[in-house]
Amino acid sequence: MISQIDQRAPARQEDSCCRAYALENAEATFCIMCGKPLLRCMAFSECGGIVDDKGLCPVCVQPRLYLNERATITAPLGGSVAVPLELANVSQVDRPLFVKRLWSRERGDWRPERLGWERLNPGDRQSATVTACEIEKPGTHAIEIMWEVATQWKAREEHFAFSSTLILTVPAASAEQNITNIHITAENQQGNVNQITVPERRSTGVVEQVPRLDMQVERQDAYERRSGLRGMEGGAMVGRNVPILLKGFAEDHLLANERPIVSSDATLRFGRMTLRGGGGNIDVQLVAQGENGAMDAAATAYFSRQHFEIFIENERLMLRVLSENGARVDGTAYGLDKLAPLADGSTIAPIVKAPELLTISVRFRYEGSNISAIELSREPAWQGGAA
Amino acid sequence: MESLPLNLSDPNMLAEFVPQSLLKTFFEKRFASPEDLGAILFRDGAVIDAFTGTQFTIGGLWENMKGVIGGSHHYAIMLADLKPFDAVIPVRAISLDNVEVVGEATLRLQLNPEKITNILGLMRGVSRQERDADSKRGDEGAIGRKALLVSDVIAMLEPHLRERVFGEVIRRHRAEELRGSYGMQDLVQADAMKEVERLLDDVGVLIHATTVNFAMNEAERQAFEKAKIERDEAMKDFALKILKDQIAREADSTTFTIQSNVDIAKVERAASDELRTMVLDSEVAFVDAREMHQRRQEFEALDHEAKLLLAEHEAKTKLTLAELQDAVTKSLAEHELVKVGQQRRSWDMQFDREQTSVQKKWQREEEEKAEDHRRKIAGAQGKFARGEGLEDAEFGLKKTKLDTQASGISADEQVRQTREWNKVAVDNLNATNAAEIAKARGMTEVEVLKMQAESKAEIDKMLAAGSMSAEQLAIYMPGISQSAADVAIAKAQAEGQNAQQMLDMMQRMTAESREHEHLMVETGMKGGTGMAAGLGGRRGFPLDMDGDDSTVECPKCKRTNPAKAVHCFQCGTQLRN
Repeated sequence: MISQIDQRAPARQEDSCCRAYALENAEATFCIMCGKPLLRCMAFSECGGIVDDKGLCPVCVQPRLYLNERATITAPLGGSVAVPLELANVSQVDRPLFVKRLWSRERGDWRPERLGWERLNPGDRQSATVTACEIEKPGTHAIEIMWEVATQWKAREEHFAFSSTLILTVPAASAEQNITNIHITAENQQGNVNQITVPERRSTGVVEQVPRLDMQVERQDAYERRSGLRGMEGGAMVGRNVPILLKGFAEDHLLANERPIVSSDATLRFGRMTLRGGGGNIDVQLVAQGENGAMDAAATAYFSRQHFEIFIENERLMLRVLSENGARVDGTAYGLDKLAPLADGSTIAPIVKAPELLTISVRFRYEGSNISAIELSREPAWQGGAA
Repeated sequence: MESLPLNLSDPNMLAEFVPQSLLKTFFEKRFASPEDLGAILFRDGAVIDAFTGTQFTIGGLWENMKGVIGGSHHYAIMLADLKPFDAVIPVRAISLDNVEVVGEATLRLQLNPEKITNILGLMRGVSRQERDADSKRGDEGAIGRKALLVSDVIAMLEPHLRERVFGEVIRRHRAEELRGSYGMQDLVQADAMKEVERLLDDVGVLIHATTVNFAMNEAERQAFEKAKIERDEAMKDFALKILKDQIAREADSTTFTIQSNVDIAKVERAASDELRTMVLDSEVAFVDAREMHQRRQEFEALDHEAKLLLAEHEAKTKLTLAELQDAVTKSLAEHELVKVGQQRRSWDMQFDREQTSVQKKWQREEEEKAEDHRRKIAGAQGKFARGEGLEDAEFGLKKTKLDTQASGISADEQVRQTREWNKVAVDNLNATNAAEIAKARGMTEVEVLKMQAESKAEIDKMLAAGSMSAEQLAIYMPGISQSAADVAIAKAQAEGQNAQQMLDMMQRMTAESREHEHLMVETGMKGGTGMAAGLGGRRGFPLDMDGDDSTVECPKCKRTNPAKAVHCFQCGTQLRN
């Protein structure tokens, strides 16, 4: 099964059939046309989006960066240039974005910029300003602007980093002119190059302003990994298309095996309740086995109907406790609604007071530096195949 | 060829001859004279010319050959510093008020660059054939080396300026007027310049400025001391004033208590000496009561603060009381209103009861009248019947008598039998009448009770509506029983429960409605295939599922898929190529 998934691993196209069929059939887990797993957005019930291979929902997260039309960018050589910008959320669904931080740099380290607001409702624009401090020499200067965006759904939050580049051309100061002209060049969203030559200061003293520019926005996945915004410690990334192998469980205790998390809420839920198709809301049933091989009803009662769920957030494997009795992860007890990160070698003990009753160990399979699959092994394993 | 720079040997040197040893050479030498030095060239003792910023070439093969043939010459070079220099001359004079004034005058002088050769006039006593005092004998190079120093110029000027300029000007001013006097400085400068020009202009010395700086003279020193003493005195006065103020403040806040072992009248009468004696004998003692006074002041401050707090608290309490009074008045008014309403309702109920009672009484009277009438009719009928019966009885008696006579029964026996029969008949009639009366009365009582029950039900209803307690009802409605009041309260509670049930039912209906909304949304999402394009603003994928009703079953998971499905929607298994 893994090989099959890997064979159909080409990057998902945004205008693919998957999103249409995910909306067509809420229970579908695979696209009937291309056969790819339907990796629904965590907010699928609102946006109806399918995340791409980098975990981004193109319906929820649509940031834009505009160079403000009020920008006056005349400065003497050696001075600084404050570039007024507008950050916008052009999402067509009612999903707000949260702009956490904003940086800029000409070269070297990123320089944090002031940001007095956070929430960006769909259709809204908010102003920000970055300052270029080093234009001491004539020539072409690049101002890189990067910002961190978060999208939230209930207790979950996905972080992304985007950037755009502004090109400043600073000609050498002539003897007749004290004012140096700075030419701005930027690529707009369509990829065309707009070059604006800032007019010189006229005799009337009026400085013309540049028209508004829709700048090209690029995802900074490498920065996300380096800065720890996304991914696990050590740089490994758990993609949404990574299949989860469930070992040691009875066949009829599983909704499916060896496939990515494709449920409508993008979670893999464990508990005593019946499975999703049978009226319940569970992907993996937690059932204790007696000495005679049958279900130990008394011990099974220790598991909650919905005990915990596993999901992938910011390309990390996370566990959220759904039981009021809590659960243990790596020996640490977590209460209701608490989040615990899962790493290679982690151990999940659903029963806090009797962790030896049932444990689930986590192991990652690697292909190079990429995580190709996640193994969840039940101990003790269910004896006898089907229950 | 490299040039050798010519320089003065000392900074205080104004002019000097270049040593001859430097000029004695077989081979050619070049000397460079800088711009700030004037170089006067002598040949055989005569001045050739004066130069600035030039080079001299001396010696060489050709010159030596010329010397051998035509004879040699003696050359000498004198260097003169053309930069301005300061000559400081001590000043000592007596002022107008006979105070000795000491100072120093600074004269800015310069050798005249245009008349460099005139400086030879200052080289008094120069003999180029003499030796320097510090030159060694036999040192040919030291011959004729003489110099002009700044001190030479000062020594030349001082006797002429001492009294003629400085003494004369200072004598015209008072000692305390000298310092900072711009006019006096100008006067000194003018006189000094005039005198220096007269003395040294011919020998090529220029003067640019003169300034006199005075040391502190006696008058100034006295004025300084006086000012210092005055400041000290002022400071002492200020300190005294502060001390007095402090003492005054302390005195204001200080109280002494006189403790006396003798009679207070004696103390009051005692003279100061006697009091002193008493104090010495410890008969009278002064007790410093400052602490007590301070404590009293603190107490007074605390008392003042307490009064303030009390006043504030009182004001707040009054305000609160006023609010409470207002609230009580309002409550009383509302209570009175309720009471009036209750009284009105009570009156209404009483009126209804009395009306009902009157109606019942009238009805009972009517019924009694009717019953009396009926009884009278019945009595009349009975009387008539009895009359008839009597007649019949008499007739029967007569007949009986006849029969008795005929049968042999005595008449008395027949009368007695008749009387017994009549008595039985009357008893039966009375019993019948009593039963009728009891029946009528019972029916009347039933009607009354029925109406009373209706009135009570109405009262109970009003009680429930007015949220009255059983005791309140008992006060206003003495006729209402406790059980009836309890029934009314229970009824109100039941109505409340019904309202809660209604609320629960509404919530259930709302929840069901919300669930219905969710179902509607889900249905809308399922049906909204074209929504994808609208949401993302991008081209959607055409999925015409409704056009083909046929289905296909997945061979792996057995789920039913649309016929157009290439893969199973549940397990992803490929269904067709």
